[in-house]
Amino acid sequence: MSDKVRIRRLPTGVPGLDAVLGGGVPEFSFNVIAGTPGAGKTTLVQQIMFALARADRPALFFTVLGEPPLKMLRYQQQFEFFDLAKVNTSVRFINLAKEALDGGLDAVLKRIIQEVEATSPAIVIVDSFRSVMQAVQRQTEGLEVQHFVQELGMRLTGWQATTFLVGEFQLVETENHPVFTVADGLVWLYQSLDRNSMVRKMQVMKMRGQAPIPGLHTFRVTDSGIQVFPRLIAGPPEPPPADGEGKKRRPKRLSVGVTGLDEMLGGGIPSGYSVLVAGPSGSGKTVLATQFIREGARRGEAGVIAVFEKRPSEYAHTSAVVLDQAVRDGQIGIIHTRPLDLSIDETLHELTDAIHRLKARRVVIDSLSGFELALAPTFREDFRESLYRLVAALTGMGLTVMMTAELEDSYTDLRFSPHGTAFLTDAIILQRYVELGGQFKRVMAVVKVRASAHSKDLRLFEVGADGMVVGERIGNYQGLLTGSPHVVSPGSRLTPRRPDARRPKS
Amino acid sequence: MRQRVFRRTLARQAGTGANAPAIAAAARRLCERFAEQLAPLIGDAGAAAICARSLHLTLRNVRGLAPVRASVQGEAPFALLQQSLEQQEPAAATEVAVGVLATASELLALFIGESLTTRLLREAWPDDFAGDTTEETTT
Repeated sequence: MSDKVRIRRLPTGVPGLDAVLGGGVPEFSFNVIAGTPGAGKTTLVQQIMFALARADRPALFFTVLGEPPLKMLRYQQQFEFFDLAKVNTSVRFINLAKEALDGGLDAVLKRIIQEVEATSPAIVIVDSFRSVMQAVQRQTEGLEVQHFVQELGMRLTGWQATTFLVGEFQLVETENHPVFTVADGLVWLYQSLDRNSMVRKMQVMKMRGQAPIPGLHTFRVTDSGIQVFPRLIAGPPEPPPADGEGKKRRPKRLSVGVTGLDEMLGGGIPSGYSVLVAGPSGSGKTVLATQFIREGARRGEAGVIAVFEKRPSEYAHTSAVVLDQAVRDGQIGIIHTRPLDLSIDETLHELTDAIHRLKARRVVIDSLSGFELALAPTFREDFRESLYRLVAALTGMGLTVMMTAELEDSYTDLRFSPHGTAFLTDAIILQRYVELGGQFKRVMAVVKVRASAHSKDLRLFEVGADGMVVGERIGNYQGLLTGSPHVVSPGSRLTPRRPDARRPKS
Repeated sequence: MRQRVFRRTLARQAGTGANAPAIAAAARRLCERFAEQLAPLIGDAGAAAICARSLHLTLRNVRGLAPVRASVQGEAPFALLQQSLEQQEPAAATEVAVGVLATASELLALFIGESLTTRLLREAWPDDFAGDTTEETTT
């Protein structure tokens, strides 16, 4: 048994924040919530306060000279977390403006200690701490700021309070402001602007005694309050399950639900694989993806579709594969996320919510182009890296993921994804238009299935009322993908590849 | 509803059959208690703003109280209110005092909601506002 002190971590009541902090707020810690005006600082601390305050261990919220308390109470009431029943019972608001103006730091400290000793609060918040500093800047007598901060930190911790100081600080101040040295935890909130888009971000710059998730995490402020979307860090892929003798078992294969295509894939899609379906507009990518999901539902494997171009109601019945009934039965979930200002982490959060709710085994992202457009501009720049994290997270959960990607049907540039993301996927199915005998035809090929044999054939396919049907191999033509095929007589040998022949790009 | 409660509270504070000076003194005490109750929550400046606005709205139609109305932004508005009410008939003084308190509570409710306002009034006068159901009946 260890004699080391065990630090209790308090759940913040802010969805996603506990994970970012490394398990919650350390009990009795002394924290700074910093950021520019409008960053969400007061909302964040009040959400935490209402979640943690109890009648026997109340919360004290000291307002100073920042936002007038009358307005703060008026506006914060609009959030669902603001529990009126707790005001003046488990949550007490105390204004320190008079002390700050008349008595400086000594008077502020004295009043805070007085109130803390009278109520034994579990949570103490000073909002805005910055305005305390500003109010006493001109004073030459009394406590120095550093002494004040240290005294406050010690007294509040000694009185078993977990403290949050809220302040409008600038990043450059972290180098020399005493409050940042004394603080156990430092959380910085940002409003990140890119073109016309604003994304809220959060960074835990320090949290003594535990390991927060590094980096910037996006968050939203809604009527419910703040929701944080922890930045996903992909771990190593799970090794394939081993059988009793320690040999790696081959992954189970999932049927796509398209006759002939399973065979082309070498028996279906290996479970836990990511598959890219690439093709030009109207070639049948969505039909294939919905057929994949519907087949799963038919076999008792629930599925989730993330739609970025249509609304779910339209999607469920306008595709050639009607999903209405399976959606009503809870076998299929369709997510239509808010467009144009998403982060990858928020999308993953919505996906995983639906995945856990439905116990889904299959996921479709339709399409990558729509997904990229739905992201806030700031995230489009590193779309490839973000997508890598998303796919790794989903496949790491054991899900089989199918993504569609629209391709410009060019005969001079053979690539499988406009995002350069093909290498991220375990399998690629390519759809193309070809002209044969004066008709537009659709062909399909399986370009790769990692660690598996698969068909190399180009096969005709059609989309009818019942979905996609794969036809025969096109055996008598050569050069179909160049746009200028020619007939090869049966039995003739294929000409060897010329040294300068184009190679597919991924 | 609150007017009735304030009237009862004022009568109890002033005593049965009270004259104008007694009513004026009781009115001042009630106003100061109300402001004291607000100050920790919304600050001295917030409490002063609510009280000043209430005095302004209540007194603008009361003949003879113009000097109070003109001084409501001063440091001791309730002392001036007391002096002015002392010059009124007891019934008129009661009406003005109740009007000031009721208007202040309505203003507060406008800003921070009925629920919080009722809670504050209950804390200031637990016996009188224990049954105040304004928060439940207001839509």
